[in-house]
Formats: sequence, C-alpha cells, structure tokens
Amino acid sequence: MKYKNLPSARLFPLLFVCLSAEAVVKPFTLPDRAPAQAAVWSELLCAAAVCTALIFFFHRVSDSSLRLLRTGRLKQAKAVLAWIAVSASFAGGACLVTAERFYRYVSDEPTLSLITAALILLAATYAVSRGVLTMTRAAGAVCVLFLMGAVLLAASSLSSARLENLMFSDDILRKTLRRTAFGNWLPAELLCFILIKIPLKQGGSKCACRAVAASAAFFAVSAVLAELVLGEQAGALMQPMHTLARLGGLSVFKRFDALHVGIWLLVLLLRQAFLLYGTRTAVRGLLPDRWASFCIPGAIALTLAGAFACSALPQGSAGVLSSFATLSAFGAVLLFSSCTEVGS
Amino acid sequence: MSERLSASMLENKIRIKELFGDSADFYTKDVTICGCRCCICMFEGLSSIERLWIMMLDILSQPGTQTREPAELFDYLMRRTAIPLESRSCLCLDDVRAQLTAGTSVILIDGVDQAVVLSTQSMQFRSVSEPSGEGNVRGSREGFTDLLRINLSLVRRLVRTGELVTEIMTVGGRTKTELAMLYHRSLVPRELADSIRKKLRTAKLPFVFDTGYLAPFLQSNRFSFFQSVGYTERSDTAAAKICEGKIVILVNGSPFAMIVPYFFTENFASMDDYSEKAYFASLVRLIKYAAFFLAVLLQGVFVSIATFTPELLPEEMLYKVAAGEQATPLPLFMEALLVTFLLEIVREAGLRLPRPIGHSVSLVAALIVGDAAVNAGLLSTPVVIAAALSAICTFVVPSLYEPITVLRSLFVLAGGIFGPIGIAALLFVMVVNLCGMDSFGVPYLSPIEPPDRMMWDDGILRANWRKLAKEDFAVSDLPCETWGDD
Repeated sequence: MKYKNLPSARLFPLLFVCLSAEAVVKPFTLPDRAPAQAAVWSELLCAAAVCTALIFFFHRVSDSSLRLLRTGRLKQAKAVLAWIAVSASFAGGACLVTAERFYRYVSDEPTLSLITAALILLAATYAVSRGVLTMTRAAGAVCVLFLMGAVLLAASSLSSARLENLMFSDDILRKTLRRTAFGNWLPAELLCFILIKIPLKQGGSKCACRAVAASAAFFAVSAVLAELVLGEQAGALMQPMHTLARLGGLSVFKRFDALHVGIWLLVLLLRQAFLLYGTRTAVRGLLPDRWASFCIPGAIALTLAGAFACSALPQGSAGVLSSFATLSAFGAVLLFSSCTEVGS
Repeated sequence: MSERLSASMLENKIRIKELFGDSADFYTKDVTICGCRCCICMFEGLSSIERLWIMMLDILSQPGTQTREPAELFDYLMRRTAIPLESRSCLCLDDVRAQLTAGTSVILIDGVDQAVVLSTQSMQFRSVSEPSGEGNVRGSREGFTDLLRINLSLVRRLVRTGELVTEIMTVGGRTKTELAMLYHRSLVPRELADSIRKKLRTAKLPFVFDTGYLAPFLQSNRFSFFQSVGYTERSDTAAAKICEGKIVILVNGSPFAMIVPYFFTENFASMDDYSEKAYFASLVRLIKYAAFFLAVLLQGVFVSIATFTPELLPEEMLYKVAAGEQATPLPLFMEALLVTFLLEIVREAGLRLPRPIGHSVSLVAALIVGDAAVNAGLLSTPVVIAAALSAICTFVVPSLYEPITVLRSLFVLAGGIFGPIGIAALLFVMVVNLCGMDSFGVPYLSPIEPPDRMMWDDGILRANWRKLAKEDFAVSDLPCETWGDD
C-alpha cells in the first residue's frame, strides 16, 4: 500500500467550507446595509490582509515550536493553549448560536433550542471523535455539495437578476471599512488549522491563503448575486441567501430552499465540528495525559460557555470580539515561537 | 503437536477408532497387500471402496506381485509405482484425521510408522449452478458451490497464471474447517497478505460454516453501519477481484467468497457493467446511487416534511397527507416505523419458508394485510407508498441491505422526533461514519474520497474499456492517507 502523510492541500475543502459558512448563513448581526460593491472591496481587503498576516506568521513560526505548543509541556505553551481554547470555544459558541437561530429562522415548527443545540453538538462530537482525517474526508463531500448547491442557487436566481439592481455608492471607502470592522475578519478556524498535526511549512500557508482567498471570492460573489436579485433589500435582510433560495426556482421546481437549507446545515455542522476539534486539541495540551478522556467533555463545556457568552453579548459584537480573540491568540503563538527559538 | 503414528498397525487402528469415538460411518478393513498386513481406513459416504479397488488394490492383487517387507512396501508405494497416491504421507494422528475427513482413504501398514493416502473421494455435493443472488444478463453462469476444492478449481480455471496463490489453512476449534486465501502474488502488497493471514490464523472460533463468521476478525473494532468486506457467489467476480489486487477467502461448506479489501463504490458495480456500453453502465450506477440515498432517506425526509415543514409539499399532496394522517390513529413517524417493521417481518417470513409458501406469504402480506390496513385506517396510503418505494430501492443495492434497513429506521426516528435538524445531524453522522472507515488501510470511500482518477473511470461512473485498459489498476495504487499521531 502506498501510505503517505496527508498533504496540507487536502485541508483546503475543510477550511474553505468552514470559512465560507457565514456567506450563506449570516450570524444574525444587525444588517449593515452596505452595497455589494462595499462587500467586494471589504472581502478583497480582508483577504489580502489575512493572507499577508498568514504568510508572515508561517514564515516566523517553525513546525518545531508548533509541535512544542501542542504538547503543552511548557508553562508558556499552556497559557497560549488556554487562550486558543477560549478563542476557539467562543467561535464555536457563536457558531452554535448561529446554527440554532438559523434553524429557528427557516423552520416554522419550533423545536426546543436546547434540543437543536444538543443535536448539533452531538453530531460534532462524533466527528471530532473520529479524528481530523475523517473530518477532512467528510469536508470533501460537503464541499462538493456546497458548491453544487451554490451553482444551483445561482442558476435558479439568474432569471430574477437585474443589472440595474446593483448599487454604486460615492461613500464606498467608509462603507467598506465599516463593513470590514464589524465583520468576522479573522476567523478562529485558522487557529484550529495551526493546531492540526501536520508539518505546516510544507504548503500550510499556501493552503490557508488559498482557502481565505476562495472564501473571500465566494463572499463577494454571493453578495453581488444577492444584490443583483434583491437590489437594496439585500443589505437590509438578515439572511439574504436564504431569501434568494426561497425565491429562486427552475421550471416547475420552486422549493429548492429545502435542499439548500439541508446543505447549509451540513456546512454548519462541519464548521461546529472543526471548531470543537480546535478547542479539544487546545484542551488536550492543557490537561495531563491521565485526563485525556476529559478533553472532549471539556471542549463541549467551553463551547457551551462560549454560546452563553455569545448570546449575552449585544448583536453584532460577537464576530468582532471573536476576531480580536483570534488575533491575540495568533500574537501569543508568535510570541511563544520567538521565545522558544531564542531559548533553544 | 499431535501424537505420531506408531509402527504397530493394531495400535494405530485402535487410536484412530478412539479418535472418532467408534463412529458408525467410520470404515476399517484389514487386508494383505504384497504379503504385508495393512488396514484400509475411510469414511463411508466421503470415500469409495470401489475407487480404492480400481486405483490400488486391483493392481497390487494381480498374480505374480512380489512379496515385500513393510518398509519396502511403503517405499515401493510412495516412490516406485504408478498408483496415484498423495505425495505426502500421514505422520501423526492429526494428519490422519485431516485426510479422512477430507474424503481420502488412509492405508496403515503394519511395521511402518507412516500411513499412505489415496484420493478416493466420492462425496455428494451440490453441482455448479447459477448463483441465486447475483443475476447477470451477460457473462458466466457459474456460481460457487459448497465444496472448497471445486470452488478453487472454478477460480483457477479463470485466472490461469502462475501468479495466483492459494493458501489453505484450518479454522474453527470444533469443526476444523478448511479455508483458502486466494490472491495475485504480484498485485497484493505483502504486508496486506501477511496481515490477513495473521488475522485468519488467530481467529478463535468454535465453528465456521460461512465466510461471514470471519468478517469481525478481519475488520477494525470501531463501530460502523457498513462492512469493509464484501461477498460474492460468482466465480468470475472473485476472479476479477483477484485481478484487481484483492484477496478472496473461501470456506469449505459455503458458496460465498469473501473479498477484502472492499469499498463502498463496489456495492454499486456488477459484472454486467463491464460487458455493457460505458454510458449505459454509468447510468445504471448513477441510478443505483440514487436508489441507495432514496432507500435511506425517503421515508425519514417524508415524515420530517409532513410533520415539521408541510408547506414544502405541493398543495394536492399536502391535503392527501393531512387527510391520511387525520384518519389514522398513529403519528406519522410511528406509522412509517410500523410499515418498515412489517416489511421486515414479511421479508423474513418469505425468506425462511420453502419457496412456494414464501411467495404466498409475500402475496398475503402485500395484498391482504397491506390493503386491509389502509382500508381499515390503520395506515395511510402515502406512508405505505413511501415505504414500498424505499423497499424497492433497497433491492437495487442488495449488498447494502443491512445498513440501509437500520439507517432508514434511524432516519424515520430522527425526522419524526427532531425534524429537519435530526435528518441533517444523522446524515452528517452517516457521512462522517463512511469517511472514517478504512478497509485494510485504504479509505472505504476510495476512489471518491480521497479523490482519485478511478472515481470517474470505475467508481461513480465507468469509462469504456479502451480507456480502462490503458492503465493497469490494482488496489495498491489507491492512496492510503495517514495522519501521524492524531
């Protein structure tokens, strides 16, 4: 058998799907009313900044220091892992809240929030227990479904698309910056990515940058599509893509939204699983080996705490807070890496 | 280590009789061959005295046959006559047991501590016939039979190369069943063959009557809905799998060959695919995939939509479903579960009874019970239609019958209790479960995930032979991913 280590490029679907999830299921923040033009510029700006930061990060951080960080043997490593666990669990909590709210939004029959959250966490826990290799493979299948769904959505909406619906604003710079600042500009999935036990120097930054760029393109295209069909209403809607799915149809098929919602729920479950994996990996480094069986329950408890914190926060601040937490965690990893390299 | 045979014929005879507990079908007869006292041992029904007479005794009892010393007779029989004796003699009691139960005759010679063996098998067995479960439009009509040696010959006849290796071993503490491991020496990686051989040898089973008994010893311990081993009754399928670099395991007494490793996509392929036009074979495969997902999801999704999101149904259908639901005493998902349960009962009843009665049971169940239940308002028509469609779809992929049945019921439960989120969560778990499975180191979803060129050539679709023949394919070519210490 030709056994080979998983190339980091295989992680692309996982990262891409997780990073693009918010393009189709918005995190229920207040509508920013920014035109698609601002969204495109904002995504370009964000992608460029994140990619530059990632290249810098991977250039400065060695695989050996990341390995050392994951083990959590040093006190500094434990501190950094604790911060990563907090960041990932907060993002996981935000994802759980978003998934639960989205499910409530699309289904008329109310299911208890706790049951929905429990089911999502249960499925995510199962995926985490099967390992990240399994998640990577599952992400391949989900990614294909996601892209096929996106193509179908575009095809079913094109008949309603009007070029005159596109809005061009004079005050584009301000709107772009505002949209960028209040969005989730640094996703915690990137933190989970650096915790995966693969040599990141071998194409790790390339894979992450490609995923960031592809998801930015996906965000931009979906914003433009939404505006082409919905006009200025696109910015005022909580879930413009769901509205698109609800309005779109091909021939006699009018209820594609059920199919899209099914696929998007799978995407959210995968994202939840990946964030839970990141939290679990960070918690594993914090706990002694004999407590290894408590890693997943610990990660679930942290995610639930994150979800409660996220629900208690004012609308729109969770994404910004999560981005700042992720940024500081990356900074802490950089600091740890430079300390360990100086020490050695 | 079994007891060695002694030089005394009488002692050996007594020990062999003790070994078989004076069985009624155990036959012994003292004879004199070339002036030496000998004893013929065989099992009635397994071996034939007539054949023994024709093959050996007649030749040795011709007038003028030289009288010999026991050791000289043994040497003469083994090396210097044209009598077709087995090349290996019996040295110990275990050898004698193995030979006698295989249907050969064992001849003990007084004064020699070994016994000669003669192939005089004449046992009754089911003839080679068309397999009952894997019908094909084209290709061979031969199916495996119950005898291992016959099955081995069926495969050997199709793979006439020196690279085909057949290894025989014994499993089952109480039955000492023979099993054979067949593989293509240059296509199967040595470590795979070694690993399977080791697992088979260490399988602690009291008895083995089918290859299915060995499956849990070959698969990983992790729970999964799906099996990473496959079965076939067809000798041409087994030969084709050997030529793909897989290992085929045959057990004496069972017409089902086990194939390892086995992948998800193989459940949707059949021998006919390779004889038909590629586009049609591809279409049939796509239909089979669709049937699998319909069989698993249809009932659950229907129950979920009808219970939680009825607005998704077209108006006319919605009225009918609502009217049906109003007229029945059970909630929709309980109805769906009940129908699935009844279907399984009917299937079991039809399967275990003699065929003519089995057909009657199916008819009675389908026409009388089904129709009566709908007319009496116990079950609604849409639920029965959904269940019937699911059942028909299941029969399109018979090798996945077990996981489909279990998953279908789980989806009905998830859809009925939790609604769309239950369906989505269970579907996610199913996908993760499939993606997490490995079949002897190769991902179970190969060549779909991880993606490989074979996905379009002979996975989801099938390319034509001109393309397929360009590059030799073997299982060892599929990528096996590892994740280090994760």
